[in-house]
Amino acid sequence: MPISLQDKLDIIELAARYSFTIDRRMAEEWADCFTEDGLMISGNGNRVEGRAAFIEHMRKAKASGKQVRHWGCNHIVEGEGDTARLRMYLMAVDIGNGISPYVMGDYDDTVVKVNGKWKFKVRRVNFAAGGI
Amino acid sequence: MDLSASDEFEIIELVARYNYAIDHRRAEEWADVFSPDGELWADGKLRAGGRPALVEHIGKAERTGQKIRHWPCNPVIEGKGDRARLRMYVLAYDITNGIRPQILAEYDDELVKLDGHWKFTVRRVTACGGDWPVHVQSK
Repeated sequence: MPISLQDKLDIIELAARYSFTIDRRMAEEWADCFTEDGLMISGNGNRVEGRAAFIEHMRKAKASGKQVRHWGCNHIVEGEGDTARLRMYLMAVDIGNGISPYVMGDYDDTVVKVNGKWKFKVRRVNFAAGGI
Repeated sequence: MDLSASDEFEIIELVARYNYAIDHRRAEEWADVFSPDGELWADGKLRAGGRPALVEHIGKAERTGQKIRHWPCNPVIEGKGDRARLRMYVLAYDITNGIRPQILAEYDDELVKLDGHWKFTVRRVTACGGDWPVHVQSK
């Protein structure tokens, strides 16, 4: 059965929670956006896999001192049952000294419903411009 | 009957499909977001009308080599039954070499529900600031 409108709204909100928590360096909350075995593949090919790796990734991001905000739009959500695909645009903005967009790209994600909550199983980002 | 929440969501998702397809130069997918006789107008001029012209519009955009990303916001959707009007803002970025705002514009669109799917019948875009992408400038 195709996913419901409520499912689509929940998945779009999951993407917002991802942005809020990564930008505020909230490691546990950010890891909560993924399944326990979740995988993130960055536009530069870097892979982060599993909850412990997500938390360590955030620790490093916090230590870097970089201040960032993730912007998203153009969400397209398609799916059946407990599995969905989310595509959306990303713009990452450096706000450490002024406001400077430094990445524009597209996510192409696999999202699954676990115990009634949508989580990223695989989050892939392709860089269209800029980079990390 | 007023539009449902599902109708409004589908129209917002149609905008995302429009942006994905035009930005990734997918001509057939882009033409699919219009009705077969759909039209694109920019600053009061018809830029493409009907499926073959819509497909060619993307071909022309691709040949310029310019890379663009459309960022929409502020959708206002009104309608009844199988007809709707959508107004919204767009900020298009040129990402050919770096990331810089290209144009800020407003849409005022007419949509129809055909066989259960919303499509643009007329998409009108009016510039507010900045410059049109190259493929629109040259028409």
